[in-house]
Amino acid sequence: MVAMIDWRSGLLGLGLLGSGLVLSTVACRPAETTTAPAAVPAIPGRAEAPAASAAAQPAAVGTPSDPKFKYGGRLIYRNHKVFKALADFDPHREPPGTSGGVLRRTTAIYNGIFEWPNHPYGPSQGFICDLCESWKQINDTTYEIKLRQGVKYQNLPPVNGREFTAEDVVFNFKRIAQDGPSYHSSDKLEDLKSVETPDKYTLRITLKEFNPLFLLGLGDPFMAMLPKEILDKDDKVTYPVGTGPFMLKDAKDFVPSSRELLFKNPDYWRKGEGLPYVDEFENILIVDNDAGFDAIMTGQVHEGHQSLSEDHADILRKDSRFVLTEAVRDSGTGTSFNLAAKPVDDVRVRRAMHLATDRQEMISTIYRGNAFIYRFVGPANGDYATPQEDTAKRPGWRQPKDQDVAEAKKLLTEAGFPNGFKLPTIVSKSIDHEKFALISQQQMRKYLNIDLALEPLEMGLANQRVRLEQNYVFTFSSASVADGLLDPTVNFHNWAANDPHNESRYNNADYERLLEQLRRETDKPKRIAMTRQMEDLLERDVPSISLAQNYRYRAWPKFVHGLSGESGAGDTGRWIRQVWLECGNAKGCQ
Amino acid sequence: MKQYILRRLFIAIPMLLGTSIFIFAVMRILPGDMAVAMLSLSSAERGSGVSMEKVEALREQMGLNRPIYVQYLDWMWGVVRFDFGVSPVSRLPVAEEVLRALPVTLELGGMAFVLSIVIALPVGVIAAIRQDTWQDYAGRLFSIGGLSIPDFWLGTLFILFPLLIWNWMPPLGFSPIDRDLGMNLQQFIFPALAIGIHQSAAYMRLLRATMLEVMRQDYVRTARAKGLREYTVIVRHALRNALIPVITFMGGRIGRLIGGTVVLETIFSLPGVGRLVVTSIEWRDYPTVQSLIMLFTTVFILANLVVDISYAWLDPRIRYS
Repeated sequence: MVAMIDWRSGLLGLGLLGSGLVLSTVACRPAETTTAPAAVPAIPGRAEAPAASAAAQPAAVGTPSDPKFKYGGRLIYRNHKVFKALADFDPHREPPGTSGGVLRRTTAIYNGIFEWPNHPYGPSQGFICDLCESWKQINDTTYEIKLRQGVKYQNLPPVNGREFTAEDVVFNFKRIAQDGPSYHSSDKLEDLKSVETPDKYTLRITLKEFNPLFLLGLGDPFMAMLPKEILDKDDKVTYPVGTGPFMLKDAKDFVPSSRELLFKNPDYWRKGEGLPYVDEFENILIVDNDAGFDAIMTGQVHEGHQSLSEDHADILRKDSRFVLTEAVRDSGTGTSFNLAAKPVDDVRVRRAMHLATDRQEMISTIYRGNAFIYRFVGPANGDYATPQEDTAKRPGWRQPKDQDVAEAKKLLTEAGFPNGFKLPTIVSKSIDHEKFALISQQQMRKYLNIDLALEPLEMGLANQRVRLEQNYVFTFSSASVADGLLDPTVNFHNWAANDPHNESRYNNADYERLLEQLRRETDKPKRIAMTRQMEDLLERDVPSISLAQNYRYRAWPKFVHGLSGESGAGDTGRWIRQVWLECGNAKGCQ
Repeated sequence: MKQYILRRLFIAIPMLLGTSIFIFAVMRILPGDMAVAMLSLSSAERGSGVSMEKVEALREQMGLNRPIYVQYLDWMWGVVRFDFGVSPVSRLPVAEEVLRALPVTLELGGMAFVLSIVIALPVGVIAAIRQDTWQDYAGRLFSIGGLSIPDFWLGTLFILFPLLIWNWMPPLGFSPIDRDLGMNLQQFIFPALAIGIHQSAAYMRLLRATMLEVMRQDYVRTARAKGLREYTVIVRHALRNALIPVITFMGGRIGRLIGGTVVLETIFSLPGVGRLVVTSIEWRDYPTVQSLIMLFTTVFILANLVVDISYAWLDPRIRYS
């Protein structure tokens, strides 16, 4: 029988089998369903109510009073960035591409004078003391800070457990303030005039001018207090030693470009509160996002850093072993116009494009409805942002589009382009930007006969063309909007004259005046009112078009307690101190 | 033989020189400024801006403002002294980075190579000596499948299938051999298998073909006629001659072996040379990319030399004079 089957027949049979498999796969694929664009979601909800499943509910923040509470265990995080050397454990001089990793690793090892009680991507809580005990404002430009006494650095050479004092703060301020390409937080100390140390636990800080946000900036996780002994003659960290809840006990626990294992600091200055609760904190590098998700599902890691997509979230929502949280992402997608380039130098053209942009279609197509519209300040659930329901009524954002499209066509005709035009468009190669660009291309063609000639470029090259050379007409970009939560002035730097973020080179005297006033105003209702005025200006002049701000998903197994996904606090290593594990027989828990 | 080896090594010098000029030029022709790329990728995550002042300061620091021929000569002078410069991205000596990543890739490539031979040899030999039987068909089916399926896809399947069936996946990341041998082997076996299966498919096909040819030779018939055991005929007489073209082929596929490691190191989070190349290109890390390409070129040249020398060992009729 076998001898009758020659190799030709065998190949033919294989080919038929393969074709049959392919065809059956295609035929059996579920029919795609089309849904109407989602309605504007209420803050902070989603377009549809989440299923009433345990997976959708964030775990309550556990405390030692919880009957299930246990000390000990190893918490394992996934990172997608690389630490290549011990010198990278440097919050002041992070090497390129590791900022996510810096936050997690270094803030588990170090402390700052202040800290943000919740990461700024969550509800605004201002700042609280970390290494300080108290502070007071003496006058407009002077603060006095009292440091905690008896705080010791980790008992590792070359620091060997000595006490943290005001002199360390002076040293760190000098280091942070250096103006070199690798010192990235010097701008936070731009207004610093002098620091005096009347005694070893007291600081008197004097600013060059009134800056109500100066102390807030000191809470940034990058403003950590390092001991000078760990720095070599080239100002590089030789071994990470801090005052934080976790420490790198042995250099062998750090495998460059792969993982590190941190242990509980037995001399942590908050050990009296039982902190940290877990004994070990491990970071593992998993580059591929899908592999990172698989690692969460199988218990290899307990949490991943911003790696979950909509597809991942869909799976996790249905899995009762996990907690899934949603927080508004810290950046929004938008576009920028080069105000010096034709034909977008005409505000009527820009306004027409703004009116014709259907953001809801983008949100429902790209994010399945799980995103927000925003005016110019974000995040969408922040105090300074225009409420969603108000934004949704404004021209350009409102639905349906008929009225706006009619107005847009009229404007374009007045501007001299009744039949549209071709618009060279740079698209930075990130997945979201390309998706937005493709949808926008369809919309512009459909409504205004504008042909967006898309030019995808690598991020670095796109930055070079747009921000440095101004060699562009129209581009899709990301705007950092999270800072609008605590301070919209930082958000508004995207349009401030002479600011490197100002891609469009927008320059408006009224805007500049309001921005300066906003910097100095401390009354919150007045600040909100000024923010609205500035948004009105931007909406009138249209230097850019805001598109959408989506969710950031985080998930962890239910046996991990103490994380609060809404705030994103788990991103910062200091908050690992409050995490505890209820292992039982849970897989992946040790 | 000695003269042959020396001659081949001597010829390698202009090849390496040409490669160095080529890769140096290509890196600088690529669109995008290195300093801008580095600062952009870094600042994007912090939401800070990139200014011309910072770009110029970084260019000055990296020596990019010098004439291009000065940069090339400076780099080559370093290469000659085995000083490959400092990576502006990691601020580590390039040699240190490469030496740290190399053992990972060598282990992965070595395991993959061994696995490919372990699979290809018996399958190819059996398929040849059992021609037109089910063993032959199974072997050929394996080779078609192995050649058709890309190694990186196979690697992904090695993660997905156990996950779906047993809710288990191979451990990702890297544990050094001296810290945890068991974990190290677990981390390497699956990516090595993915590369090895793909490579073995090609070796198996060629080995089967050469074995079939050799088995028909007179000296094999003579060996059988002398009453030698079949095992001796196949292994000592047939296989040794059949291996010669296969070894040549293996040498030529060193490139694919290294290429396979690039993607699989990323999927399985192994900090090897392959992943280093990818991230270095992304960051326009000129010194690291240039050094790695020179390393790969050297490896190819040496691999081919070793292959050619091994002919003489395998076939005494071949002499290089």
